[in-house]
Amino acid sequence: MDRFLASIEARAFRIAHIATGNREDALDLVQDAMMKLASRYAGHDEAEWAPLFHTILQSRIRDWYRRSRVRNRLRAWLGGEDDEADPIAELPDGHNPGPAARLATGRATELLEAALGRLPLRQQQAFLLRVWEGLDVAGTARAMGCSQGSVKTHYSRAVHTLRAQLEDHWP
Amino acid sequence: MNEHEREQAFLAQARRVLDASAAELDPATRTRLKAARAAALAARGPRLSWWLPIGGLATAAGAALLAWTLLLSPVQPAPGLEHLDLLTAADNLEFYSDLEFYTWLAEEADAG
Repeated sequence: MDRFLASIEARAFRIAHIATGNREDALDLVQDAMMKLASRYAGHDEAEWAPLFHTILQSRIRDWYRRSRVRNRLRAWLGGEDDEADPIAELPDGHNPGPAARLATGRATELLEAALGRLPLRQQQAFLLRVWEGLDVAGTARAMGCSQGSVKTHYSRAVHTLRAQLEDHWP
Repeated sequence: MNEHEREQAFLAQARRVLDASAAELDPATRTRLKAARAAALAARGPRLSWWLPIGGLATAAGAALLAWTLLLSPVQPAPGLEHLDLLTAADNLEFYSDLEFYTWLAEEADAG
């Protein structure tokens, strides 16, 4: 279990960070997912850990997203702000690595993460799970809690949008 | 390069970029993730701990059921136990075999 968690923690953090735009929230979501996997599914076959972990993490991200939306609506209602604003775009970016880290990470990462952050949550989830985590359509549907048809739609739209935004601009 | 190949090249590039971003996490974040992992593993506890209270309850319930069954069922004497006093008696077995005769004799004496 320790080896498995060590192997996925950095990617899990990046996924949560792209979804939330906030480092502390991303760390909390990853820790919650690790806790639940370790406490409830450690006895399962090791081959099941990855899809189980991503199912838990994506569920936590969706919960976070719903809470953020309610909070932003409440804030908008109290403060009279625009309640249609994208909650992800509204969040402060806690991930501010500074010039040196930006140089190390590279402009390509910056561009991709910004583009991913602008995608609707479901498209973002479908893209990251399919392309980065290598889950198949069925596994992605299970992790996202939706149908395989929805996964195909979200994934296709995400790829189309990202290519249109990035393909000609990547270094 | 056709459309499919261009898409595959784009996805491969996206994968490389994401891998690089995960590999270049700052030390502070790595430390936090390591601590989160340790906390998750510590919270796991012994795997059998869930079963201990369940096993204890099952054993207690089984014992109670057994006791209840034994208390409510009528006692059936083992076959032959009604003659146990004969087998363990100190008197000669011939006395018991002639018991009918001695009974008749006693009744005759009372009548006479």
